[in-house]
Amino acid sequence: MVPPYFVQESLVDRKTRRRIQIMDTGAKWMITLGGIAVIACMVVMIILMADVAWPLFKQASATKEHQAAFVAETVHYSFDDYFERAYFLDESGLLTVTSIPENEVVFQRELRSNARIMSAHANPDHVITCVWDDGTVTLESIIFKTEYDDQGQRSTRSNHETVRSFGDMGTGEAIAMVQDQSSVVVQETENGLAVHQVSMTEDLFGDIEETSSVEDIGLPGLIAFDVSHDRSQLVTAQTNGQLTLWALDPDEGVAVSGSAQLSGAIHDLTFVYGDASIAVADDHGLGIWMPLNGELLEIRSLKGHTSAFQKLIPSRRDKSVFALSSSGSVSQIHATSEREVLEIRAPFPLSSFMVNQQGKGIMAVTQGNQYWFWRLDNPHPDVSFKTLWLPVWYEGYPEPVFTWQSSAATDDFEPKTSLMPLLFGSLKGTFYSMIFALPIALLGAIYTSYLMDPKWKRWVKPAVELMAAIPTVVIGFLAALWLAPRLEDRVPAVFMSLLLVPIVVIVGMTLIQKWGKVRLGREFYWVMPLVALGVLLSLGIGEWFQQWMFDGDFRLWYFETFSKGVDQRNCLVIAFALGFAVIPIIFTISEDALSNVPAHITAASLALGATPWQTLRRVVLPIASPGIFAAAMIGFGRAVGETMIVLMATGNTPIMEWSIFNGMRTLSANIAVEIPEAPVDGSLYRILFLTALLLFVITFIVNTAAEFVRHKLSKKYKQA
Amino acid sequence: MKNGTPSQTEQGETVTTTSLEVRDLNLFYGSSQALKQVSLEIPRHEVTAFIGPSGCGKSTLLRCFNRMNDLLGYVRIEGKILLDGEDIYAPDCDVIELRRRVGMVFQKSNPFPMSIYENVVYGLRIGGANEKDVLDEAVERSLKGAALWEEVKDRLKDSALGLSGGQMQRLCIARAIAVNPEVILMDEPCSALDPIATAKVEELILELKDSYTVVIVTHNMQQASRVADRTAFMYLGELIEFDETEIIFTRPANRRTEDYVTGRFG
Repeated sequence: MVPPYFVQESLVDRKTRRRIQIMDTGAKWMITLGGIAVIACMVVMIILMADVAWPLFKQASATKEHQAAFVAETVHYSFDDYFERAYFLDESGLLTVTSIPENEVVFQRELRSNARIMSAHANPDHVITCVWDDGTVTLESIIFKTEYDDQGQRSTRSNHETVRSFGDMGTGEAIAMVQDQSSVVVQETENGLAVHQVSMTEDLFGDIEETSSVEDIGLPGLIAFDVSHDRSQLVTAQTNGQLTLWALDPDEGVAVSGSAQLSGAIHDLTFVYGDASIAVADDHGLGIWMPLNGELLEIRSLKGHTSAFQKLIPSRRDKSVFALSSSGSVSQIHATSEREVLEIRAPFPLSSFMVNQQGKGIMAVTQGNQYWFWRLDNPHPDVSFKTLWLPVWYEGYPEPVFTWQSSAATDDFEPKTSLMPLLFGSLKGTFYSMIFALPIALLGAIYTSYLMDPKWKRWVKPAVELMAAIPTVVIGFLAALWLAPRLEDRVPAVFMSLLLVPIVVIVGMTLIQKWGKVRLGREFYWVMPLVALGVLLSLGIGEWFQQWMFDGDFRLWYFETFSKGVDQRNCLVIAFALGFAVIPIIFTISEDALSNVPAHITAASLALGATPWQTLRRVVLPIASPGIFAAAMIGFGRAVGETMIVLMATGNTPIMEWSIFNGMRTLSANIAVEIPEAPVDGSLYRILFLTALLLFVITFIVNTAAEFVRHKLSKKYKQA
Repeated sequence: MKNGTPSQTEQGETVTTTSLEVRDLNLFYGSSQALKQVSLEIPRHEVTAFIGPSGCGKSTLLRCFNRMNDLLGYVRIEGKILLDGEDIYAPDCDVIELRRRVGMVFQKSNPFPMSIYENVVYGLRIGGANEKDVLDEAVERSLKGAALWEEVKDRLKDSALGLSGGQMQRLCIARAIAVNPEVILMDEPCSALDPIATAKVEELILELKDSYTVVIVTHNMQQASRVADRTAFMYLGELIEFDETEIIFTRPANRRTEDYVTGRFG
């Protein structure tokens, strides 16, 4: 006889067993692979985002490009953006343009014969103010024309043009600014400055009217002065530490518009690009000054540099200032970020330097007329930890603030890229939406899982889950265009309903239960019309209340009382719309958690004489708490990351106010708003990637924390 | 509610007073009838066992005594059940109060995920008792009553989920007696326990009857014969025979009872 186990053996033959084994192993590996792939995707995403964002914090660098001996004695020199041409202007007025690596003269011109240059003032735009010994001031412009031939080969042609010539001037150092026919020439005199202003205005009939004025200002011990690019401001520094800002106007003349007394000696000053602030180098370092209400205020400062700065040249591309220190090094300092972006040193002290037009190259002179060229790699001088996370005193602001304003109509605008208003906006929107969604979703889940007729539960749960399938753009669209205008007029009614709806429901249900029997699990038959009644009642009473308390217009009353407006796209709208979006997820997860509380545990409680409410509170909720907590956290994460709704219905105003009547701008919406305007690899572009990373990290942390706490709690309440 | 009226004494036949009396009970799960014209009287301070094959309605009948069937929602009941002479299905009957008087121990031990102490005092806490000495006293009394005190007295604050299966079931009994019920219903309390734990629980049941009326549903006929004073045999929703245990197991009046207890079906 065959023993029974032998029969068993033959039931599953070797082939089948082998197949089962292969399938098992295969499935195991597939699942493992899937898990690893998910983790790998996350890591890759983080790496990709971090890769774009990290150059923001990369240290800038300068690479020495070239070194050569050129023209000996010059009054001015500079070079083009491609490191191909350098030019030199000597005392006799001879302009020499050379090719940089070859060091060959490609262009030479005598600007004027029989005259010598007393001084030359230049800016990185290659426009030089020359003061001649015969009392003439000329504006000379060096032009570099870059062309590409058919092979894509670059060639640079250089030319020169005398933009304007002013006669009958003095021989002191001068700065001239011209536009069209209007001009300002500020020239140093024996006891101060002479300001020559010419303006041309065309009247209605096409007649040109010329206004010109010359004004002398007495400035004993003048050290340095600078004229703003728009010709409307002049700033001066004196040996006694007096810093004065003057307003220039062809009609009104020269007037003081602000002044300050510095404790240390001033070495140099210059208008920062945009003319809204002034960089001042003194014994203590570099300070950024700004006029405010007739005063000059130091809004930022870079202290503690090893040696004082002697000469300042502003960048014409951003708010950077290049400074030559007394020890012979050149530093780039960004006025907004207060970062000393880089410091360039040569083996010998540098005696003077120039910056090219793009601010990407430095040419400096050291011992023996050796000219050194450095190519700068400083893509993001404007970003620092402080500009992202700490209050910054921006140009034109009365105090340090958190502000996000990444771009404006003009290039010389100071970008404000604080992430705080965005983080604040995200948290604010999430906070208000959770206030709305959490109670509704949780109470709904409790009722559905624990009290509702199972026949109805089968319908209600999938229906709520279907809510999650509504595209958020639809919710956002409705919130912005339908809900917001209606809420705007009914603010008192909305707040009234928060109070009235629960009252109506409680009172109504109490009365109904007193008079008749409500079937267990079907209470919502009655509650739904009661909620509707409560809403209608709130609308009515709210309107009446608005008439009675707020003279018919709550918004006006609020504005007059608190002098703050009620925005149409406000947080109230977001609370509803975003809340609507997160309700399904919180509802579903917590409903599952509650339904998974074993029936025999609730039965034990009920059999001990506990009411359903006591059972819920003492047994069901604690056991379901891990799941409920996870639901809330996942809902939170969802609300933080939600984009479309907040993009459409918040108004995207990056303000930091808790008021429910204001809008906000969230991290996620900000990315959607700004990415089309962010040049690839620019500071804004990288900051947006940084915010994306931040968003990712926040949701990651929240979800991980949720999982961690859930795990802890479920260990505590685990079932035997 | 007042103490029950000893209905039996009126007929002068028996000296034991009745704790629970079932009169013409019909129970429907939707359209199917689970209990058919059941009538019986459960005497006070005795152990009454319900036996019968699966699906005979013994657990359903047990759950009628504390109205746990109500929770199912689709149950309809005709007839009367009197606890100490008062109809527990009367409209003015307080179910909460009823369940305090009629405790229950389930088939699967179901301690709450709390400490041993909190499990025992749960019924008192929901009843509003919060004084520490009252609770402490109740814990000691109940755990002693459930023969668990010696085993757990040093770890009352530990989670009840760390106990063994038999200890958990005895904890559930302690939890039930902590509120001083009149009746304790036990729905196959030992079916998930090993023989040693079962023996302990059975021993406990015998002790409990001094203070409580015990109604026990069991699949295990030996258990019924060991612990029960009276045994009811049910079959297909009908009460076939109800008598003293010794009579049911040795000389049952009904042929079906005899077939069942002798193992011919079931």
